[in-house]
Amino acid sequence: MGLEFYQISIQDYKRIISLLDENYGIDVSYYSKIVFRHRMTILMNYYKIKDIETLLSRLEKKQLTEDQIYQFLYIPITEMFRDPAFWRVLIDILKNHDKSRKIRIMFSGGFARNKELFSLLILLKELNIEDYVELTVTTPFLISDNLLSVTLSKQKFELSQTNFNRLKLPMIDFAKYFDKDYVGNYKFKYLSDYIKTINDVSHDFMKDAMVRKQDIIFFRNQLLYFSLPKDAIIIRNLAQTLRPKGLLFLGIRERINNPADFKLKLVNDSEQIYSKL
Amino acid sequence: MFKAIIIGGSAGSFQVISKILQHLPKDIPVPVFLVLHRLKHVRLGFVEALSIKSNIPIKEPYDKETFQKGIAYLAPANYHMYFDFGNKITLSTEEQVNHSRPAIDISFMSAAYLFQDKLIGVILSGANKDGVKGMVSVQEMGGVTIVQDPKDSQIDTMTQGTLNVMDPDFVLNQKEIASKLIELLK
Repeated sequence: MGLEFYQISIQDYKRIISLLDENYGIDVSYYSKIVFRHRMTILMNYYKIKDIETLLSRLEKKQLTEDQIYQFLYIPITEMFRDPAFWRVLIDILKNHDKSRKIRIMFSGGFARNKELFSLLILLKELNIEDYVELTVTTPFLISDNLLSVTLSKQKFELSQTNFNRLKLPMIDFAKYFDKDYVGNYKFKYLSDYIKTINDVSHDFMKDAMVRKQDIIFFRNQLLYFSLPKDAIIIRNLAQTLRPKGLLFLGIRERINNPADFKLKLVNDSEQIYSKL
Repeated sequence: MFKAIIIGGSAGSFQVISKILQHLPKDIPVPVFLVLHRLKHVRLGFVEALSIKSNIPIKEPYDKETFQKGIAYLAPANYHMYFDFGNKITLSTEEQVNHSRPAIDISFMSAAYLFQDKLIGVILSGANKDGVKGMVSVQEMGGVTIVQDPKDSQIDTMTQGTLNVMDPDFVLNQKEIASKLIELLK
Protein backbone atom coordinates (compact mmCIF):
# COMPACT_ATOMS: atom_id res chain seq x y z
CA MET A 1 0.00 0.00 0.00
CA GLY A 2 1.37 3.39 -0.98
CA LEU A 3 0.74 6.66 0.76
CA GLU A 4 -2.76 8.07 0.46
CA PHE A 5 -2.74 11.81 -0.14
CA TYR A 6 -5.36 14.16 1.24
CA GLN A 7 -5.93 17.69 0.03
CA ILE A 8 -6.38 19.78 3.16
CA SER A 9 -8.07 23.05 2.32
CA ILE A 10 -7.06 26.34 3.92
CA GLN A 11 -10.29 26.31 5.94
CA ASP A 12 -9.59 22.79 7.28
CA TYR A 13 -5.99 23.74 7.95
CA LYS A 14 -7.18 26.63 10.09
CA ARG A 15 -9.58 24.37 11.97
CA ILE A 16 -6.81 21.86 12.66
CA ILE A 17 -4.34 24.40 14.04
CA SER A 18 -7.10 25.96 16.11
CA LEU A 19 -8.01 22.57 17.61
CA LEU A 20 -4.37 21.75 18.31
CA ASP A 21 -4.01 25.05 20.13
CA GLU A 22 -7.28 24.89 22.08
CA ASN A 23 -7.37 21.17 22.95
CA TYR A 24 -3.68 20.31 23.20
CA GLY A 25 -1.89 23.62 23.78
CA ILE A 26 0.25 22.94 20.68
CA ASP A 27 0.94 26.13 18.75
CA VAL A 28 1.80 25.29 15.17
CA SER A 29 0.96 28.68 13.70
CA TYR A 30 4.65 29.14 12.84
CA TYR A 31 5.03 25.69 11.22
CA SER A 32 5.43 25.76 7.44
CA LYS A 33 1.81 25.55 6.26
CA ILE A 34 2.46 23.41 3.22
CA VAL A 35 4.61 20.89 5.08
CA PHE A 36 2.21 20.83 8.03
CA ARG A 37 -0.62 19.82 5.74
CA HIS A 38 1.52 16.96 4.43
CA ARG A 39 2.45 15.91 7.98
CA MET A 40 -1.27 15.62 8.72
CA THR A 41 -1.74 13.35 5.70
CA ILE A 42 1.07 11.14 7.01
CA LEU A 43 -0.65 11.04 10.41
CA MET A 44 -3.95 10.15 8.76
CA ASN A 45 -2.30 7.32 6.85
CA TYR A 46 -0.67 5.96 9.99
CA TYR A 47 -3.86 5.99 12.06
CA LYS A 48 -6.01 4.95 9.08
CA ILE A 49 -8.10 8.11 9.29
CA LYS A 50 -10.07 8.12 6.06
CA ASP A 51 -11.04 11.77 5.68
CA ILE A 52 -10.49 15.25 7.06
CA GLU A 53 -13.81 15.33 8.90
CA THR A 54 -12.80 12.24 10.88
CA LEU A 55 -9.46 13.83 11.70
CA LEU A 56 -11.18 16.98 12.93
CA SER A 57 -13.61 14.91 14.99
CA ARG A 58 -10.79 12.97 16.64
CA LEU A 59 -8.96 16.18 17.47
CA GLU A 60 -12.15 17.72 18.88
CA LYS A 61 -12.71 14.70 21.10
CA LYS A 62 -9.01 14.50 21.99
CA GLN A 63 -8.85 10.93 20.73
CA LEU A 64 -5.23 11.43 19.75
CA THR A 65 -2.63 12.04 22.43
CA GLU A 66 -0.12 14.88 22.44
CA ASP A 67 2.70 12.45 21.73
CA GLN A 68 0.82 10.92 18.83
CA ILE A 69 0.56 14.37 17.28
CA TYR A 70 4.13 15.45 18.01
CA GLN A 71 5.34 12.19 16.50
CA PHE A 72 4.20 13.48 13.12
CA LEU A 73 5.14 17.12 13.58
CA TYR A 74 8.73 16.02 14.09
CA ILE A 75 10.48 15.02 10.91
CA PRO A 76 11.55 11.38 11.03
CA ILE A 77 15.18 10.42 10.86
CA THR A 78 16.06 8.97 7.52
CA GLU A 79 19.83 8.91 7.79
CA MET A 80 22.71 10.12 9.94
CA PHE A 81 25.67 12.11 8.58
CA ARG A 82 23.46 13.56 5.85
CA ASP A 83 25.61 15.60 3.41
CA PRO A 84 29.03 14.04 4.06
CA ALA A 85 30.68 17.04 2.34
CA PHE A 86 29.39 19.24 5.15
CA TRP A 87 30.74 16.91 7.81
CA ARG A 88 34.16 16.94 6.13
CA VAL A 89 34.18 20.74 6.35
CA LEU A 90 33.22 20.49 10.01
CA ILE A 91 36.06 18.05 10.67
CA ASP A 92 38.54 20.61 9.29
CA ILE A 93 37.02 23.37 11.44
CA LEU A 94 37.21 21.26 14.60
CA LYS A 95 40.71 19.99 13.93
CA ASN A 96 42.03 23.50 13.38
CA HIS A 97 40.31 25.08 16.34
CA ASP A 98 42.44 26.70 19.01
CA LYS A 99 42.68 24.07 21.76
CA SER A 100 43.62 26.62 24.43
CA ARG A 101 39.97 27.05 25.28
CA LYS A 102 36.87 24.93 24.91
CA ILE A 103 34.89 25.34 21.74
CA ARG A 104 31.25 26.03 22.45
CA ILE A 105 28.91 24.16 20.14
CA MET A 106 25.16 24.52 20.30
CA PHE A 107 22.71 22.15 18.75
CA SER A 108 19.30 23.76 18.54
CA GLY A 109 16.32 21.50 18.09
CA GLY A 110 13.39 22.67 16.01
CA PHE A 111 11.14 20.17 14.32
CA ALA A 112 13.97 18.00 13.05
CA ARG A 113 14.84 15.11 15.34
CA ASN A 114 18.26 14.68 16.80
CA LYS A 115 20.08 12.87 14.03
CA GLU A 116 22.43 15.81 13.63
CA LEU A 117 23.15 15.87 17.35
CA PHE A 118 23.85 12.16 17.49
CA SER A 119 26.00 12.37 14.35
CA LEU A 120 27.94 15.19 16.02
CA LEU A 121 28.44 13.15 19.20
CA ILE A 122 29.89 10.26 17.22
CA LEU A 123 32.16 12.62 15.32
CA LEU A 124 33.49 14.31 18.47
CA LYS A 125 34.23 10.92 19.92
CA GLU A 126 36.01 9.73 16.78
CA LEU A 127 38.08 12.91 16.58
CA ASN A 128 38.96 12.46 20.24
CA ILE A 129 38.25 16.09 21.00
CA GLU A 130 35.30 15.70 23.32
CA ASP A 131 37.32 17.23 26.19
CA TYR A 132 37.71 20.44 24.21
CA VAL A 133 34.01 20.85 23.60
CA GLU A 134 31.25 22.41 25.63
CA LEU A 135 28.02 21.25 24.06
CA THR A 136 24.69 22.97 24.59
CA VAL A 137 21.52 21.28 23.44
CA THR A 138 18.41 23.43 23.27
CA THR A 139 14.86 22.32 22.63
CA PRO A 140 11.91 24.70 22.46
CA PHE A 141 9.34 22.11 23.44
CA LEU A 142 8.84 19.69 26.29
CA ILE A 143 8.41 16.34 24.65
CA SER A 144 8.79 12.71 25.56
CA ASP A 145 12.25 11.21 25.52
CA ASN A 146 11.15 8.48 23.14
CA LEU A 147 10.63 11.10 20.44
CA LEU A 148 14.26 12.08 20.73
CA SER A 149 15.78 8.64 20.58
CA VAL A 150 17.16 7.26 17.35
CA THR A 151 16.29 3.81 16.12
CA LEU A 152 17.38 3.04 12.61
CA SER A 153 16.12 0.25 10.42
CA LYS A 154 18.82 -1.96 8.90
CA GLN A 155 18.51 -0.04 5.64
CA LYS A 156 18.84 3.38 7.32
CA PHE A 157 21.68 2.12 9.46
CA GLU A 158 23.57 0.99 6.37
CA LEU A 159 22.91 4.30 4.66
CA SER A 160 24.20 6.18 7.72
CA GLN A 161 27.25 3.94 7.82
CA THR A 162 27.91 4.63 4.13
CA ASN A 163 27.63 8.38 4.80
CA PHE A 164 30.03 8.03 7.71
CA ASN A 165 32.52 6.08 5.63
CA ARG A 166 32.50 8.93 3.11
CA LEU A 167 34.14 11.10 5.78
CA LYS A 168 37.29 9.04 5.26
CA LEU A 169 38.10 8.88 8.94
CA PRO A 170 40.19 5.95 10.12
CA MET A 171 38.04 2.86 9.81
CA ILE A 172 35.91 2.31 12.88
CA ASP A 173 33.20 -0.06 13.85
CA PHE A 174 30.23 2.25 13.30
CA ALA A 175 27.94 -0.36 14.83
CA LYS A 176 29.56 0.06 18.25
CA TYR A 177 27.45 3.19 18.73
CA PHE A 178 24.23 1.20 18.44
CA ASP A 179 22.40 -1.56 20.21
CA LYS A 180 20.88 -4.02 17.78
CA ASP A 181 17.45 -5.21 18.86
CA TYR A 182 15.81 -8.56 18.26
CA VAL A 183 14.11 -7.46 15.04
CA GLY A 184 17.33 -6.12 13.55
CA ASN A 185 16.88 -2.40 14.22
CA TYR A 186 19.74 -0.28 15.53
CA LYS A 187 19.14 1.95 18.55
CA PHE A 188 21.65 4.73 19.13
CA LYS A 189 23.44 4.64 22.49
CA TYR A 190 23.24 8.11 23.97
CA LEU A 191 26.75 9.37 24.53
CA SER A 192 26.28 11.83 27.37
CA ASP A 193 29.02 10.07 29.31
CA TYR A 194 31.50 10.80 26.50
CA ILE A 195 31.09 14.55 26.59
CA LYS A 196 32.16 16.15 29.83
CA THR A 197 29.99 19.23 29.50
CA ILE A 198 26.54 19.05 28.04
CA ASN A 199 24.17 21.86 28.91
CA ASP A 200 20.67 20.66 28.27
CA VAL A 201 18.44 23.70 28.23
CA SER A 202 15.00 24.67 27.05
CA HIS A 203 15.20 27.74 24.87
CA ASP A 204 12.88 29.12 22.24
CA PHE A 205 14.73 31.08 19.56
CA MET A 206 11.47 32.50 18.33
CA LYS A 207 11.46 34.56 21.50
CA ASP A 208 15.02 35.68 22.13
CA ALA A 209 18.74 34.98 21.85
CA MET A 210 20.71 33.03 24.45
CA VAL A 211 22.97 34.91 26.82
CA ARG A 212 25.84 32.41 26.63
CA LYS A 213 27.58 33.03 23.31
CA GLN A 214 28.56 30.12 21.08
CA ASP A 215 31.32 29.34 18.57
CA ILE A 216 29.19 27.04 16.44
CA ILE A 217 25.44 26.73 16.09
CA PHE A 218 23.84 23.78 14.33
CA PHE A 219 20.49 24.64 12.73
CA ARG A 220 20.68 22.52 9.62
CA ASN A 221 17.44 21.76 7.74
CA GLN A 222 15.28 23.27 10.43
CA LEU A 223 14.34 26.63 8.93
CA LEU A 224 12.55 24.55 6.28
CA TYR A 225 9.80 23.86 8.78
CA PHE A 226 9.12 27.41 9.89
CA SER A 227 6.83 29.80 8.08
CA LEU A 228 8.32 32.85 6.42
CA PRO A 229 7.99 35.75 8.85
CA LYS A 230 9.20 33.58 11.73
CA ASP A 231 12.44 32.39 10.17
CA ALA A 232 13.89 35.92 10.16
CA ILE A 233 13.24 36.19 13.89
CA ILE A 234 14.98 32.88 14.49
CA ILE A 235 17.99 33.83 12.36
CA ARG A 236 18.33 37.13 14.21
CA ASN A 237 18.29 35.39 17.60
CA LEU A 238 20.70 32.66 16.48
CA ALA A 239 23.07 35.30 15.09
CA GLN A 240 22.95 37.20 18.37
CA THR A 241 23.88 34.01 20.19
CA LEU A 242 27.12 33.68 18.19
CA ARG A 243 30.48 34.95 19.33
CA PRO A 244 32.34 37.21 16.86
CA LYS A 245 33.53 34.94 14.00
CA GLY A 246 31.24 32.21 15.32
CA LEU A 247 29.68 29.93 12.71
CA LEU A 248 26.05 29.20 11.91
CA PHE A 249 25.35 25.98 9.98
CA LEU A 250 22.20 25.80 7.87
CA GLY A 251 21.08 23.06 5.50
CA ILE A 252 22.58 23.14 2.03
CA ARG A 253 19.34 24.39 0.44
CA GLU A 254 18.59 26.94 3.15
CA ARG A 255 19.79 30.45 2.54
CA ILE A 256 19.80 33.80 4.32
CA ASN A 257 18.98 36.42 1.70
CA ASN A 258 20.59 39.44 3.31
CA PRO A 259 23.05 38.06 5.85
CA ALA A 260 24.53 41.48 6.61
CA ASP A 261 21.15 42.46 8.10
CA PHE A 262 21.88 39.89 10.79
CA LYS A 263 25.58 40.76 11.08
CA LEU A 264 26.42 37.53 9.29
CA LYS A 265 28.58 36.75 6.27
CA LEU A 266 28.34 33.70 4.00
CA VAL A 267 31.70 31.92 4.23
CA ASN A 268 30.87 28.61 2.56
CA ASP A 269 28.28 28.73 -0.22
CA SER A 270 27.97 25.02 -0.96
CA GLU A 271 27.48 24.09 2.71
CA GLN A 272 25.62 27.30 3.71
CA ILE A 273 27.91 28.24 6.56
CA TYR A 274 27.66 31.80 7.88
CA SER A 275 30.13 33.66 10.08
CA LYS A 276 29.27 36.33 12.64
CA LEU A 277 30.82 39.68 11.72
CA MET B 1 -3.58 30.73 -19.65
CA PHE B 2 -1.33 28.20 -17.92
CA LYS B 3 0.78 29.19 -14.94
CA ALA B 4 3.26 26.29 -14.70
CA ILE B 5 4.58 23.10 -16.23
CA ILE B 6 5.71 20.23 -14.05
CA ILE B 7 7.65 17.27 -15.41
CA GLY B 8 8.45 14.07 -13.55
CA GLY B 9 10.74 11.28 -14.59
CA SER B 10 13.14 8.64 -13.46
CA ALA B 11 15.24 6.02 -15.19
CA GLY B 12 15.41 6.71 -18.91
CA SER B 13 14.03 10.24 -18.70
CA PHE B 14 17.22 12.30 -18.88
CA GLN B 15 17.43 12.38 -22.67
CA VAL B 16 13.76 13.20 -22.96
CA ILE B 17 13.97 16.07 -20.47
CA SER B 18 17.05 17.33 -22.25
CA LYS B 19 15.17 17.30 -25.56
CA ILE B 20 12.19 19.14 -24.08
CA LEU B 21 14.39 21.84 -22.53
CA GLN B 22 16.21 22.23 -25.83
CA HIS B 23 12.99 23.12 -27.63
CA LEU B 24 11.21 25.29 -25.09
CA PRO B 25 11.37 28.97 -26.08
CA LYS B 26 13.59 31.34 -24.14
CA ASP B 27 10.61 33.55 -23.39
CA ILE B 28 8.42 30.73 -22.08
CA PRO B 29 5.72 32.48 -20.03
CA VAL B 30 5.67 30.00 -17.12
CA PRO B 31 8.11 28.34 -14.71
CA VAL B 32 9.03 24.73 -15.43
CA PHE B 33 9.44 22.37 -12.46
CA LEU B 34 11.54 19.25 -12.91
CA VAL B 35 11.21 16.39 -10.44
CA LEU B 36 13.67 13.68 -11.36
CA HIS B 37 14.88 10.74 -9.34
CA ARG B 38 18.61 11.10 -8.84
CA LEU B 39 21.49 9.97 -6.68
CA LYS B 40 21.09 11.65 -3.32
CA HIS B 41 24.75 12.43 -2.64
CA VAL B 42 25.69 13.67 -6.08
CA ARG B 43 25.04 17.36 -5.85
CA LEU B 44 27.03 18.63 -8.79
CA GLY B 45 26.71 17.84 -12.46
CA PHE B 46 22.99 17.36 -12.97
CA VAL B 47 22.11 21.01 -13.56
CA GLU B 48 25.24 21.45 -15.65
CA ALA B 49 24.44 18.40 -17.79
CA LEU B 50 20.86 19.50 -18.40
CA SER B 51 22.00 23.06 -19.12
CA ILE B 52 24.24 22.07 -22.01
CA LYS B 53 21.39 21.98 -24.50
CA SER B 54 18.67 23.79 -22.58
CA ASN B 55 17.19 26.92 -24.05
CA ILE B 56 16.16 28.24 -20.62
CA PRO B 57 18.18 28.59 -17.42
CA ILE B 58 18.03 25.69 -14.95
CA LYS B 59 18.59 25.99 -11.24
CA GLU B 60 18.12 24.09 -8.03
CA PRO B 61 16.02 26.28 -5.77
CA TYR B 62 16.66 27.20 -2.18
CA ASP B 63 13.91 26.79 0.38
CA LYS B 64 11.30 29.60 0.20
CA GLU B 65 12.71 30.87 -3.08
CA THR B 66 10.26 32.79 -5.27
CA PHE B 67 9.78 31.04 -8.61
CA GLN B 68 9.66 32.99 -11.86
CA LYS B 69 8.60 32.38 -15.43
CA GLY B 70 11.26 31.41 -17.94
CA ILE B 71 13.29 29.34 -15.47
CA ALA B 72 13.41 25.58 -14.94
CA TYR B 73 13.63 24.56 -11.28
CA LEU B 74 15.16 21.15 -10.62
CA ALA B 75 14.18 19.52 -7.32
CA PRO B 76 17.42 19.26 -5.28
CA ALA B 77 18.79 15.82 -4.48
CA ASN B 78 17.51 14.43 -1.18
CA TYR B 79 14.79 17.09 -0.72
CA HIS B 80 11.08 17.05 -1.47
CA MET B 81 9.82 20.09 -3.37
CA TYR B 82 6.45 21.78 -2.70
CA PHE B 83 4.83 24.92 -4.09
CA ASP B 84 3.10 27.47 -1.96
CA PHE B 85 1.07 30.66 -2.23
CA GLY B 86 3.11 33.74 -3.00
CA ASN B 87 4.97 31.82 -5.74
CA LYS B 88 7.22 30.17 -3.18
CA ILE B 89 9.07 26.89 -3.38
CA THR B 90 9.22 24.98 -0.12
CA LEU B 91 11.68 22.15 0.46
CA SER B 92 11.64 19.42 3.08
CA THR B 93 13.72 16.53 4.35
CA GLU B 94 10.71 14.40 5.22
CA GLU B 95 10.68 10.65 4.75
CA GLN B 96 10.91 9.18 1.28
CA VAL B 97 7.69 8.58 -0.63
CA ASN B 98 7.70 5.70 -3.13
CA HIS B 99 11.33 5.14 -2.05
CA SER B 100 12.11 8.55 -3.51
CA ARG B 101 13.19 11.98 -2.32
CA PRO B 102 12.40 14.09 -4.23
CA ALA B 103 9.12 12.30 -4.77
CA ILE B 104 7.22 13.11 -7.94
CA ASP B 105 3.86 12.48 -6.26
CA ILE B 106 4.50 15.09 -3.58
CA SER B 107 5.49 17.81 -6.05
CA PHE B 108 2.69 17.01 -8.51
CA MET B 109 0.06 16.97 -5.75
CA SER B 110 1.34 20.25 -4.40
CA ALA B 111 1.44 21.87 -7.84
CA ALA B 112 -2.04 20.56 -8.69
CA TYR B 113 -3.43 22.09 -5.51
CA LEU B 114 -1.75 25.45 -6.10
CA PHE B 115 -2.22 25.88 -9.85
CA GLN B 116 -5.47 23.92 -10.28
CA ASP B 117 -6.50 23.98 -13.97
CA LYS B 118 -3.58 26.27 -14.89
CA LEU B 119 -1.06 23.42 -14.71
CA ILE B 120 0.42 21.09 -17.31
CA GLY B 121 1.72 17.82 -15.86
CA VAL B 122 4.07 15.59 -17.82
CA ILE B 123 5.19 12.11 -16.77
CA LEU B 124 8.11 10.41 -18.48
CA SER B 125 10.03 7.15 -18.45
CA GLY B 126 10.73 5.62 -15.04
CA ALA B 127 11.17 2.39 -13.17
CA ASN B 128 8.70 2.83 -10.32
CA LYS B 129 5.19 4.16 -9.86
CA ASP B 130 6.09 7.45 -8.24
CA GLY B 131 4.15 10.11 -10.12
CA VAL B 132 1.05 8.05 -10.87
CA LYS B 133 -1.00 9.51 -8.01
CA GLY B 134 0.41 12.94 -8.74
CA MET B 135 -0.80 12.78 -12.33
CA VAL B 136 -4.25 11.71 -11.20
CA SER B 137 -4.28 14.71 -8.90
CA VAL B 138 -3.32 17.08 -11.74
CA GLN B 139 -6.22 15.74 -13.77
CA GLU B 140 -8.67 15.90 -10.87
CA MET B 141 -7.81 19.55 -10.31
CA GLY B 142 -8.45 20.34 -13.96
CA GLY B 143 -4.88 20.49 -15.25
CA VAL B 144 -3.70 19.14 -18.59
CA THR B 145 -1.91 15.78 -18.47
CA ILE B 146 0.70 14.43 -20.88
CA VAL B 147 2.14 10.93 -20.61
CA GLN B 148 5.14 9.77 -22.61
CA ASP B 149 4.03 6.86 -24.74
CA PRO B 150 5.09 3.67 -22.90
CA LYS B 151 6.27 2.24 -26.24
CA ASP B 152 8.59 5.24 -26.51
CA SER B 153 9.73 5.03 -22.84
CA GLN B 154 13.05 3.41 -22.07
CA ILE B 155 11.42 1.96 -18.94
CA ASP B 156 7.63 2.00 -18.95
CA THR B 157 6.67 1.29 -15.31
CA MET B 158 5.88 4.93 -14.60
CA THR B 159 4.16 5.75 -17.88
CA GLN B 160 2.20 2.51 -18.20
CA GLY B 161 1.33 2.69 -14.50
CA THR B 162 -0.19 6.11 -15.13
CA LEU B 163 -2.16 4.91 -18.15
CA ASN B 164 -3.49 2.01 -16.08
CA VAL B 165 -5.32 4.37 -13.72
CA MET B 166 -6.21 7.40 -15.82
CA ASP B 167 -6.99 8.61 -19.27
CA PRO B 168 -4.59 11.51 -19.91
CA ASP B 169 -5.19 14.35 -22.32
CA PHE B 170 -2.21 13.32 -24.46
CA VAL B 171 -0.02 10.25 -24.92
CA LEU B 172 2.98 11.39 -26.94
CA ASN B 173 6.41 10.25 -27.94
CA GLN B 174 9.44 12.25 -26.86
CA LYS B 175 9.65 14.19 -30.12
CA GLU B 176 6.08 15.40 -29.77
CA ILE B 177 6.07 16.49 -26.14
CA ALA B 178 7.96 19.79 -26.51
CA SER B 179 5.89 20.93 -29.48
CA LYS B 180 2.68 20.08 -27.62
CA LEU B 181 3.84 22.15 -24.65
CA ILE B 182 4.59 25.10 -26.93
CA GLU B 183 1.21 24.72 -28.60
CA LEU B 184 -0.61 24.64 -25.25
CA LEU B 185 1.19 27.77 -24.05
CA LYS B 186 0.18 29.83 -27.09
